[in-house]
Amino acid sequence: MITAILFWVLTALAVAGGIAVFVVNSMARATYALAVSFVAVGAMIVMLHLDYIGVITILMMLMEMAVMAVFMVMFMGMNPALMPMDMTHNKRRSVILAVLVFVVLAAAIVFIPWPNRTGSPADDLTKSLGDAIMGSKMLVMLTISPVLFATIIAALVLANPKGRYDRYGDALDRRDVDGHPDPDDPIPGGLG
Amino acid sequence: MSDGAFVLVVLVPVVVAVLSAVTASANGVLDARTNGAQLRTGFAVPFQETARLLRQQRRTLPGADSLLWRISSAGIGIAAVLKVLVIPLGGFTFADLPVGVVWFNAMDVLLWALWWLLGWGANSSWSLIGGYRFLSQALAYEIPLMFALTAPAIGAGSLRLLTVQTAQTHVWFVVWMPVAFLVFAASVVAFASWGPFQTALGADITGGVLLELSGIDRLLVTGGRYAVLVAGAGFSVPLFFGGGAGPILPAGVWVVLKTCLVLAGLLTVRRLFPTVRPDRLAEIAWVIVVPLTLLQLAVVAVIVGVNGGAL
Amino acid sequence: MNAQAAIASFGWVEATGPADADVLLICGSPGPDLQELIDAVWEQIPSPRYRVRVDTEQSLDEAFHTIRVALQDETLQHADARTRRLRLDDNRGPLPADTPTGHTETSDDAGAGSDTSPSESSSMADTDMAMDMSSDGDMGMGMDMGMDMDMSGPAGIPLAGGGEDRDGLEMDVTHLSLGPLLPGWPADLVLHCTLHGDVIADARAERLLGTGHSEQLPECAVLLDDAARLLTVAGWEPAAHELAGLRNSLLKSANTHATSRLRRVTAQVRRSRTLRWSLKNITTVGGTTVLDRLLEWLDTALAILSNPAAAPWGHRSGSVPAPTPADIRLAVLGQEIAATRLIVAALGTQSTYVIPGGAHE
Repeated sequence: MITAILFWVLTALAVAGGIAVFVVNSMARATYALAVSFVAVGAMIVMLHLDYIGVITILMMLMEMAVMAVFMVMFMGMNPALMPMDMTHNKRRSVILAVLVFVVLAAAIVFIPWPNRTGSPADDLTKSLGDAIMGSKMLVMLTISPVLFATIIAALVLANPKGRYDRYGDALDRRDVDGHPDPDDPIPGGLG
Repeated sequence: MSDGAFVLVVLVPVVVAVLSAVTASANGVLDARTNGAQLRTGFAVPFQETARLLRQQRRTLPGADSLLWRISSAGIGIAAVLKVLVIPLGGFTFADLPVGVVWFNAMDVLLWALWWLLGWGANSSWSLIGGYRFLSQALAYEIPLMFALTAPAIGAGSLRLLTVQTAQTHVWFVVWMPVAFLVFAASVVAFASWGPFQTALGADITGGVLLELSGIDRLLVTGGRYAVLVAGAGFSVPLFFGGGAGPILPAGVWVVLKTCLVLAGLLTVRRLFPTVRPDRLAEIAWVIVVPLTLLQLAVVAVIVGVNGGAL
Repeated sequence: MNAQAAIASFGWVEATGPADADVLLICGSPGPDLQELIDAVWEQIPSPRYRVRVDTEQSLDEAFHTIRVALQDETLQHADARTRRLRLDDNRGPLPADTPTGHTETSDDAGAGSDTSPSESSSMADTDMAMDMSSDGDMGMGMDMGMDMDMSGPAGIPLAGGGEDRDGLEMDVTHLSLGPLLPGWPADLVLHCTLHGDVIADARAERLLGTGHSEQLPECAVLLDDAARLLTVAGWEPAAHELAGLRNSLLKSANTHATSRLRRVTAQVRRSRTLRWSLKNITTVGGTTVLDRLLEWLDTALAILSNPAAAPWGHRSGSVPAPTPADIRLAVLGQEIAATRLIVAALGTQSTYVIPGGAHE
């Protein structure tokens, strides 16, 4: 009983958070409304006894929102983050898209002939999850992750049209006539 | 969780608050000693400060996002309590999550959000700089911390804290995972914004995220900071110090005792080291500390592989 | 400085900002510009609060006793709290100075000056107090409009404008005035900065007139005071407290243990790799690094303490000539805002600064 009530409260929270993202007028609030929504979903997953996935969802989403705050400053031109602003863009098309996706997914719930459970859950779900994901595909994961990482960095470099890379090209390590590295870091890091 | 545990959960915030007050008092006494003031005055500092702040007006700044600001000032202590919930006291634990270690990590990331919101909500330049300083520091400590948390998990072959604790019956993990422990302790200092990693509220930005807080909000944040320290120190006990293991006394008492010892260490760190400027941190963390923790993981993995389990 | 010693002897502490403060202690008689800033600070101190001005050392004790009484006077404090408006939508009382329409910037080129958050020094643990000494108070900071932007943000605070950063990226530009009421900051220095994010792109230093004259103090205490402030700004509170305690004991009487205590702290500071690493590459006016300046102060103080005859009063061994505004500007250009605080703290609040006439501390 308590579990059911808790579950429904969490669903309501998740949906309300999702709606709030588009209703509030500040970027910080929208960001954290989204975080609340995801955390509620994560908590529901924990309630389904998929602890690892649930907690990881909470962890990743919270971290992602914080990193988003960094990007907010990095890539927003003027600082409109402080301005009260409308959180919706391209309204008509996005509404159509959202309704379509919702209808398709909802229909899927109703119409898919869901199979009955045949086995019983493993004792240690985290362990079996790890086996399922990593067991036979370890090599693939090991190869893919560096590639993915390199892709992210390359995308960032290319997406930033006025960055240091654009100005100096490949010669990021070239030296000036006075022997100093040029381009110079205005503020050196901890090791420099 | 049994029914009895539900009742006991109410006790957790109380215990955390008491331990935080003790920590704050101890810090006050140490401060009083350097200042040449009476030790008694130092001991009373947290209580007087509480009384003072409860009497003080709250304030808001023009354009401040009060909702987010108040949420974040209240949230820091709550995050600490949520961390403490999964710490086992001997064989007993309030919330026996199979992924307790990951839970700790998630709550630590919650602190990212809270410190940043604290800086953001005030709508003051200094506070905002403080909030972003915390984030940049967090980017530096988080990856090493995640690897450091992995070490005890590999050692015990489980993410459940009770299992991690029982895996240390023979040798405490701190003995063969010293690097992981040091990184963990440093991260506790960092996410509590304490001692050498207190840049989010440093004097060079006039108090940073703390600057604009007054009254009850300030009390919640400064108290929450101590609570986070307590939670971090408490968590190191099942991870590295064998949990409630110890002679004569009951396990719960041992956990609290060991927590207090780690806390004493954290207080000493504040006195020994000056604040590290945030722009110096990331490079060190990624170029030196991450490889070190990876090396530690390799050592642990090899030992576990050869030994067929924890030492 | 005697006031600081008195605060410590009462077991009180200095506050870092107005939100933390309970008492505003004004030492000496501030000039009109400074008075305006002090009023702004006063408006931001949450109730219960008390403000008192002292002119002479002798009146300090008396003032401190009135502080204790005033802060505990429930009727008075309730009356004060009722007549204040801490929110914009609150119609009680006068407009606080920290609202955008309050307190106009002291600079003349600033457009619609809007000050947010001055902060103040000194609160105490026991009954609660904060104080402002005209020399080591807090900060007034204003956010003015970016020149190329004309957009108003929430609550009328101008938003940042765009500008070219040092590495060619477009950056937000905000204008901010630092000082003079900041901890570890000279009482007569205001730095009007153009900020790119938290990096100072341009700055203009200004001296406020009529901020006071120095008290007659032992040279050694002045050096220790400067060192303590620099260490506070650098973020090593326990060591700074130790130096402040030494300073206080020097003010009261000659202390036989002072030399050995100072020697220990100096050694600790010199040994600290963390401090060296953390302060690396931060150079103050005159090309000395901040850390060298700190050690120079400590060594000089140690030399005076161990051999008082060798250093006559008023003579400043190793002191640099008072920096001009242009020097200060050059030193802070391209620095991050917190590094600026270190650079200015390394000027010394008193010893290397020639302060014009008036009353101070």
